Amino acid sequence: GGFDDEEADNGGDGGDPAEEGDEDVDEPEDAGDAEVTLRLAHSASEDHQYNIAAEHFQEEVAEQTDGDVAIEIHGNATLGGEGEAIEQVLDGSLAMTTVAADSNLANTVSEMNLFGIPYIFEDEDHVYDMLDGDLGDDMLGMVGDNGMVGMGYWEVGMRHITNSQQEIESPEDMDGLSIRVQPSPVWEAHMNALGASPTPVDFDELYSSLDQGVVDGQENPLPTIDSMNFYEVQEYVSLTGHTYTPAVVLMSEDAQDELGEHFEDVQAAVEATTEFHRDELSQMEDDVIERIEDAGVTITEEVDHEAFLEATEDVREEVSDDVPSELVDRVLEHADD
Amino acid sequence: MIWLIPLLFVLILLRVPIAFALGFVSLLGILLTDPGLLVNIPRQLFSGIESFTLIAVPLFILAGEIMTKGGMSKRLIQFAQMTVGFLPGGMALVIIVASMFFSALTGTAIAAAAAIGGMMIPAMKEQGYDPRFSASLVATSSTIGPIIPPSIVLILYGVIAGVSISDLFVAGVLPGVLMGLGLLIYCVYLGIKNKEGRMRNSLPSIRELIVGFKDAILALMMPVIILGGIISGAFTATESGVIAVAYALIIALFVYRDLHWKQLYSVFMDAGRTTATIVFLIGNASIFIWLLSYHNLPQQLVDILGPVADNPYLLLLVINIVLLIAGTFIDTISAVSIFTPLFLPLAEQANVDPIHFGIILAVNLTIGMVTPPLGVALFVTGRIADIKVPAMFKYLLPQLAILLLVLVFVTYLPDVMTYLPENYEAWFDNG
Amino acid sequence: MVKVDQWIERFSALLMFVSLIVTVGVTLLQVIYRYVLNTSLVWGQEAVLITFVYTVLFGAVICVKHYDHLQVDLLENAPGWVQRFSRLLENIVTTAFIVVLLFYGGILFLDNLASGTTVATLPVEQAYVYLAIPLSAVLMLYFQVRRWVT
Ligand code: NA
Ligand code: NA
Repeated sequence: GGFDDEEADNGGDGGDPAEEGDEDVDEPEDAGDAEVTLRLAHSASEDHQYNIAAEHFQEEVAEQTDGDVAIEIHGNATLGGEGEAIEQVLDGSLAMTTVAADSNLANTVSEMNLFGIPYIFEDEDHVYDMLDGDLGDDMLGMVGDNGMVGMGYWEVGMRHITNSQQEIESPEDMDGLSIRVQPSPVWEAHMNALGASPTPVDFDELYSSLDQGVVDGQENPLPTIDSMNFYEVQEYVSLTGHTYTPAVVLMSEDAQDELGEHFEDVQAAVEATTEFHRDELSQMEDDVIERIEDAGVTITEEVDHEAFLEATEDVREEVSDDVPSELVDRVLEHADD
Repeated sequence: MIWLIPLLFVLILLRVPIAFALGFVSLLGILLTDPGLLVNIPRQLFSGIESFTLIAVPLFILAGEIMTKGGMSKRLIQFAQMTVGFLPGGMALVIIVASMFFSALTGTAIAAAAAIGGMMIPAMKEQGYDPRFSASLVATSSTIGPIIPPSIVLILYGVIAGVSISDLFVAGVLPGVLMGLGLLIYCVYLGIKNKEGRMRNSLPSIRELIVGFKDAILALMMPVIILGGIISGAFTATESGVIAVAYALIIALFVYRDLHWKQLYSVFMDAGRTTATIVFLIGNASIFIWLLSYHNLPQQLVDILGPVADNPYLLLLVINIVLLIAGTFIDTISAVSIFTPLFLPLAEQANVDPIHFGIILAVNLTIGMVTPPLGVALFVTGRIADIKVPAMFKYLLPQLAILLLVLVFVTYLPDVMTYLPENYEAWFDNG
Repeated sequence: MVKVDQWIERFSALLMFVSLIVTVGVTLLQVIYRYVLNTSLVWGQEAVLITFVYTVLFGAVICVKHYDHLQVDLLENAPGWVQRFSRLLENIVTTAFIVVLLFYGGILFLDNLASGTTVATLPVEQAYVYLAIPLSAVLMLYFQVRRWVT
């Protein structure tokens, strides 16, 4: 017997706090001669979207500041899950983190629940227009109102439904399916509205639950479906794009002060990373689709977005206390253009 | 910062409660670098405790307690007596087999040592066995408990290492059975060679077998439910824990009727206190773990160990020696909380599978329960047999040697150890 | 004094006992919902996590009172001065840690009260979940200080 070099494929879907990868702890780079070293924590493994962005950001910052500012990446939730990372940014004990918009962050910045409302975004272009425009700025302002610096949006991605039973083209196809979702009222309402039964399963147990048929399906962005090998135990991937999860980039106010004039450079590096990340993940998604199609999975691209939007209209009620209807209207109005 | 690690051991050896030693060392580490981070002490303590998987700890403790108080151990011993009692080695074999059955009911070794020792040591004395022999055998057999699932040690390791409890449980079956088989073969040999353990029962009649089986079947169903549920992927460890509690309650209260409702209060209180000691310790360990990763201390350990860190054979040898020494002083639960964060990054660097490493850790540290000076299992059985621990040494040594042989086997055959956890899911594949 | 000891212990024991029963009960309910009723108890997981934290922290209070916390005892036969030194060290380390836990646990509570962070599936503020820390720490401190005195 030998000790193999094989590495487990792993990655959280950046959704809930339990979803933490367990491999490949990042070795933070030596800070060297930097004037300021910022710790950036995230909750996922090395091949996850968070880490892809974080590593690029690390390089961008070094470049933009001539090495005056160094970023130290702490992945795999080694400094705490998303909820704890947010708390630490709030009290200044952690400089930066990137977290899913509509999960733990929404417990502090409740308007972020906007990103849990199904089918209000038509496609990635629609999302990017909104995030890069006034709406995106306003939402970062709300992060600011809660005592953190909202730096920008990286990407967890457009979420799609996979299952073992049938192609999903219209809301009726969801009837009777049990779908694993994160435990939250809006996800429960979302699945109930479609006649599906929402089932919370730990992310760590999800692969085997899908394999054993404990649940019929799950929903996640394509890179996660790929890295967790869910396509091995699912027959159908429907490109529902029901919600989009931004990875919100947060900085503590203390770190902002510490950066001084370098703050602008770091802000620029966040934005440059956003651009890189979107291109990178878009390329990745194309590759993933090809790969899982080769594996014999049926990909459904024709999804009746309008019908889904209508069927899930009442889900908004579930978050109406948190998300002003004005925000939802701004998203929908834009869609009409 | 690395000096915090020796300081931790000094505090522990000077009798500071291990939970508080972990918390205090972290406190010192934060105070000396960045006092602004002190709020991470309550925060990390909290997040270390707040884990759905850890809820399995009180559940398996409760299930074991209810089983013991509910008359299950008595029935398992009777069943073991019938099935192996007639072989050479007789009663000694009964201890081992009953311990293996009992292992599958509870997550800790002490429960097994107390329950089986309490019944078997006096019974064996009556039949002329040397109590020093029976006390040491009950102790060594009880180390199978934390290896055969369910296992508190493996749950704690899984939570700290972030690996699947189900995979760990599946991986624990083979080493646990090997430990049992090793001890069985040794006792059969003793039974044939000399008078130790020659005492045997007559062959059971078919009738006796049927009656005995009927009596024990309900107890034996429990491991089937727990293991079957976990292995088939139907239940998580926590879910199977609560099913085990419900099942044990029904059997003990309504079928065997050996447990009274009024006893439940003390069963829950005891389980609550035991849980608090274990999980409060884990919470404090997670403050320490946070400090380690904040300052990249595991990486510094890798650098210190140099070439040893790259060679898995050498590394595991060193780790095993350190753990064996530590295990003689520190209890299993504390040791797994302290050493997992220190050694797992080293093991991963040397491409040791984390499931495999968990099993090495668990087998190694449970052997510590029967090595003096702090052999917890020895204290329990010694008290039952009314003998001092040093008096057991002569009988203990060959049994310890067998367990160490299993440890070598477990350490250096990674492919054998990871075969089951890597393949069991495929067997239950629905296609 | 002994009266106060008893009251505090009873309070902690009751909290631990009830929390443990609820933890076990709701976990069982979750299994029943999932496997028998084929639906799910969305708030179940977060609820049991909260009661579990209370079980552990208030159990830990009782363990401070009864010297239940795991420790290594190699000093049984050590000379008297070593014993006295170890007892002093144990007291200093434990007290210092509990004081920090109490103070910063209080800050954690207040910070969360200020940020208004809620528990996702329950109408409870995260601050009140964290309240278990300063609350249990103050009781631990009581028993620890009692040890200094005796
Ligand atoms: Na066991
Ligand atoms: Na020992």
